[in-house]
Parts: sequence; C-alpha cells; structure tokens
Amino acid sequence: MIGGLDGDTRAWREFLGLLRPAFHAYFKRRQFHGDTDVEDLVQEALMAVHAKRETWRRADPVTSWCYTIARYKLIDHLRKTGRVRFVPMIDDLPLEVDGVEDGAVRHDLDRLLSSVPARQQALVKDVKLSGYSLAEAGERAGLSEGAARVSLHRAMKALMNRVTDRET
Amino acid sequence: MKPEPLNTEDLIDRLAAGARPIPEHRPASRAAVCAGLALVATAVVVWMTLGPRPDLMLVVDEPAFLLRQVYALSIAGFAGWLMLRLGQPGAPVRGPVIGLGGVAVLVMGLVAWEQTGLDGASRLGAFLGQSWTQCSLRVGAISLVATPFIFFAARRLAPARPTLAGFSAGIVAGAVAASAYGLYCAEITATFVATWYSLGILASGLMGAALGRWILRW
Repeated sequence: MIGGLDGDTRAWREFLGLLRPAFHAYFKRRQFHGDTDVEDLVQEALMAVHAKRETWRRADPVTSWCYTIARYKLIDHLRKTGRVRFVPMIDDLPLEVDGVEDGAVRHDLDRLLSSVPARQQALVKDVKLSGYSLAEAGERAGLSEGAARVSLHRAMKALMNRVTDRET
Repeated sequence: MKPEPLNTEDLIDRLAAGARPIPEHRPASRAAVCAGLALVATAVVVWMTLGPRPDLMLVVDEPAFLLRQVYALSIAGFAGWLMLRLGQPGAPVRGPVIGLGGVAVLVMGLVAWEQTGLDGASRLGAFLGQSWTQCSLRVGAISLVATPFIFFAARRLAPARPTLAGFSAGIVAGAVAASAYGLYCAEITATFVATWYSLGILASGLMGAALGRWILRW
C-alpha cells in the first residue's frame, strides 16, 4: 500500500491484486442476485480504493480502511437496487475464510503483535490463531501451563490496550 | 458507471498503471489551503458589501474582538478536523468531537460568568446587542461564499456518512464566515457572540448537511 502511494506501479498492482479476492469474498458472503453483481461490486470497490487512496492515513490499519470502503460501496449498491437487507455495522473481519491472511490483514496483525515481547507473540499466535492448547503452546515456548496462561493473559491485555489507545 | 473492460484483471492493470506518488497528509493540506482561501474570500466580501470598519486597527486587541476570532477559528479548526476524519475511512473521530465539545463548554461557561455579573435589564442588552436581527442572517449569507471552497476539499474525501461530513463542512464554512463578519461586527458581549454567531454557523451546518447528502457521495 505504501509502495503504491509512493508511485510504485508494481507494488500498487500487487496490493490491488491482494484486495481482489478479499473483496470478492466480502461481497460474496453478502449474497446477491448473481455473480455479475459481486464482480461489479469488486470492480467498484477497487476503483474507489484507487481513487480515494490518499484518504488512507498511514497511522490507521489498512484493513479497516479497505473494508469501510467496501461496506460503503455495498450499502450504496443496495440503496440503488432498492433491496432492503441487513448490513452489520461492525463487520466480522474475515481472517482465514477469505484467504487473505498473507496480505493486508496479516500486515496489520503483525504490526499489532510486534508491540509485545517475542515469547508472548509466539503464545498469542499459537493459542489464538493456530488453535494449540495452552499446555502445547507453553511447551513450545518452554513454559509451564500456568506460566503460559499468565504470560498469554498479559499479552492479550497489552494488545487490548494498544487497540483501544488508537481510538483517540 | 460500468468500467469499459469487464475483466477485473484488466481493471487492476489499468488502475495500477495510474499509480503516482501521493504526498502524505494531502487531504489535510488541501483542506487547510481551501479554508485559507475561503477566509480571504469572505473577508473581501465583507469588506466590499458592509464596508471596512473605520476603527478596525483600534479594536483588534479588544477582548470582544479576540473572543469572536478565537471562537470562530477554533470552531472552524475542530470542525475541519472532524470533516477530515469523517472523510478518511477507518479514522477515529473522538479527538475533534471532544475539541468541539470543549469549545462549546468554554463559551457557555464564559456566557454564564458574564450573565452573573449583570442585572436584569443589561442582561437582555447583552443578549440582543444592537444587531441581533442581522447577525445570524449575515453570517449565514456570508457562509455561502465559503461553502464552495470547503466542499471542494470535502469532495476529494471518502466519507462513509456523507450527510454528517456535509454538516461538518457546513460548520467550517459558517465558522469561517463568522470570523470574517467578526471583522465588521461591533458587538462586545460574549452572550451575543455565543448566541447569534452560533446560530448562523449552525444554519450553515444544516445547509451543508443537505448539500453533503448529494454532493459528497462517491
């Protein structure tokens, strides 16, 4: 994204290419009349991302910026087609479902995770993302289950603080 | 608006080819320039229609004059900040909202303090001043000059809530107009400014909301 903003056509192409499947899944999951609708919306959203790219603040997570644009385009589309449908205000950001975890979402997550020590990072990833049990994750990190629990708790607390701080 | 190539890959290629360096904080600098131009334009309009105030140089350090300017410009600043935040998807809006609320509380405190120091008859005098019938109308009218400048900047943003963004853009235009009108106005009480200036700014905000609903869509 930053590469694209600096005028790097290659980086921008790659970024848009990553967004495409993410947007596709996003609109797909909010089922429409047919695939043409979904593809149209993907194109609309991609064009909006391109046209409005200067409105992304480098301090904000890229994902929330992209999905806010996608949601706006979705609501706009529903308004135009006159179909009344429930659109959740707070989106359950699709993580693994959409297969974009290597892209924008991963970037934001990594940035957030990098604010806690390495061992806590590993614990959070193992338990919260990869689905290991506390005991297994503790063993991987060289900790007893109890120590792992305390450490994980601290890490989650620190992360929560980080996320809430940004709201100001 | 349907794109010419229906193939998404082609679209991405075409968009990517259009990547150009974009300076950081471009929306903010554009808004600042537009607000500056609006300030100049409204001041010129006040100068030409209402005429220069002969004693302008004498009153610039009066508390009443300073209060008007500080009030109008801080509202313009915070509302502009809010407009920017609303127009940048995913950006938090708490800061500017707290700022606007803070200014409102300060001004109301000032009014309360002024009113407690006055007796019944002069209270009404402080409230109505010499020109209460004109003030809000003039601020509202002058804001029409500022509105195009502010909306030019707002158009380039991406507000998820266009009406709300239009409202804050209208508040900016109104506050800029209030600042320009404050160069001419000879009222000296905080109560007057807090009431009639605010009313004019609010009217501009409502016009902006109506406008934003239509022209801030993207």
